[in-house]
Parts: sequence; C-alpha cells; structure tokens
Amino acid sequence: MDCARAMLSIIESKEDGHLPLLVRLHLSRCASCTAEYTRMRKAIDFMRSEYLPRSPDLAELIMTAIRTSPKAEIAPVSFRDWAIVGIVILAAIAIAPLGSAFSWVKKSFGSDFLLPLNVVLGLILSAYGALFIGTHLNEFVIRFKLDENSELEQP
Amino acid sequence: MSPPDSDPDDVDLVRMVQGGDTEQFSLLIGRHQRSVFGLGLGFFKNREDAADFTQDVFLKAFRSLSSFQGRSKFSTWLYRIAYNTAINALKRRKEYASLAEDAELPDYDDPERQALGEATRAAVLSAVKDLPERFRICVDLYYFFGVSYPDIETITGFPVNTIKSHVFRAKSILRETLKDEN
Repeated sequence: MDCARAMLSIIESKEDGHLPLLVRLHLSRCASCTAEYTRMRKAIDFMRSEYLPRSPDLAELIMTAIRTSPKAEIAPVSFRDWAIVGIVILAAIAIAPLGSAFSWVKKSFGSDFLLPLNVVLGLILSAYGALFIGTHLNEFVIRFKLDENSELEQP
Repeated sequence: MSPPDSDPDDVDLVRMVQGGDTEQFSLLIGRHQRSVFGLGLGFFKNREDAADFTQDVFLKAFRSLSSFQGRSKFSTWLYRIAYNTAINALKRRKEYASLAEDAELPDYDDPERQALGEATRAAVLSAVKDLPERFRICVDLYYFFGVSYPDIETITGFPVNTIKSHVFRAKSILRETLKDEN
C-alpha cells in the first residue's frame, strides 16, 4: 500500500482508532504517514476536549423538575416482559381446545359453554391490552405520532 | 473483574432509574449536560436558550426512559431526542451553526496547542462554510462529540452516505490544513 492510499483509507475509516490491517502495516514502516496520522489524531482529540462549551450545572434544576413532575413514574415492566405475558395468554387460548379438559367440558355441556368462555377470554385480552396501553401511553404517543412534539420520531 | 467502587456505565444507570432509583438520573445529567448544551448552543446560538433546551431535553429523556432498550448507546439516544427537540422547536428552519464559529478557545501557553487550536478552527470553518446549515451538525457531531457515522445517521436521519461524504470532506480539509501548518 502506498502513502496516498494509506492516508485515503485513514480518512475514509468509519471509526477512529479502527484502521484496516494493511493501513496499520503501512504505518508501522512509514514515518511520514505515522506523523501525519498522529497529527490528525491529536487535532481530533483536541477538538473533542476543547471545543464543547462549558455548560452551567443544570443537574439540580432538572432533578427538582423531575421530583415535582406528576409524570415522574416510570413503567417498571419492560416491553419484553409484556410481550412474554401476551404470548403466553395467546398460546393458552390457542392450545386450550386441544386439551382433554376442553373435550370433557364440550362433551358435558355441548357447545353452550363457548359463548361464556369467549366472553371470559375476551375480558382477559381486553384487560391485558388496557393495562399495556395504560402503562405505555408515552411510547404510543411517540410511536403513532400522536403528539407533534414527539421526541423520538425521525424528523 | 472491575473494582466494586467503579463508576456504573450509562446503561447501568438507566437500568437503576428504570428500576425506580430516579436519583441516579442526576449522574446521567452530569455526564451529558455539556454535550446537550453544546448542541443547544449550535441551534439556538445563545446560552440562555441552550440552557432551557438542555433542561427540556433531559426532562423528555427521563419521561421516555422506559422505552430505552439499550440497543444503542445512551448518548446516541439522548442526542436523537436533543436533535428532534431542536428541529421541532425551530420548525422548518433546520439551521445549525458549527460550534467552531463561536468557540472561545483560551490562549494556550503551549505554542503547539495554540497552533492546533487555530488550525482546527480554520479547518472546521472551511469544512462547514459551503455546507447547507442543516448538514453542518454532521461535522460537529463527528469532530466535537465523537459520534460515529451510523450513530450520526440514527440521530439526524440523514443517509449514511451523505454523512460520510460530508465528514470525509471535513477530514480531508483538516489533513490539508494540518499539512500547511506543519
């Protein structure tokens, strides 16, 4: 690899400090490219340490706002846990007709029990859905762009 | 094994806050307020508005913290909130002034450091001067905030190839400026 290609590769590298093997080999035996690379690294390190303006300390002000905010509660259950519970409920509903208990009930009561059973299952699903939405209102507002100030959607 | 008194990383702190220990959020503020304030200064161009913006961003981040899954770095997630908050506040004017434009670098005793300050400032100003204002943030995020290309894409929503070309050009200008200085 020649010097021009090595420096081009350094400039093209996505992440600082992760240079392709060929470039590292070139740097190990080329003093001028090493010096140039070192200068660039120094300049970038300088920018990262010196250019950001000093901020006033806002931590206490923000924490006071958080403590006094009525929306300070955070949903303690993760999306993953919610999804697992939802899948368990759906799986239970799906496999229930295959079980021997279901066959026994059907034999004993005919198809009359299907309506109340479906009502009960519907209530369980509705309660799960209502709880899920109620504890994740903020995420729904963001996901479905219900608030124009939603902060997580792409501009 | 890390020592028991080592500082928890951002994700650990987020997990603590998500678990109900909200006071740990102050540590996250302490770590990132300077960066968010810097972004605010780039968009709003005065310290008062940048301070208000910083508070607003952290309050939004706190309220949305339950949606943070740890798939990206906390800083990337936070910068994305900051970027969108600024863009929404400025409506259609997606203007951003590079921090290099108003940077107040001190006079360094070390001449090498002084030269580095002047060279980097000249390089960044040269890199951003021909860029549309909305793309200038790409150069700042790379140089001053140390954000990688994919994370800049996550934050701004600009295509990664656009980001690469702007940063590539900025790095080329920096290289040439440093060569001239030398």
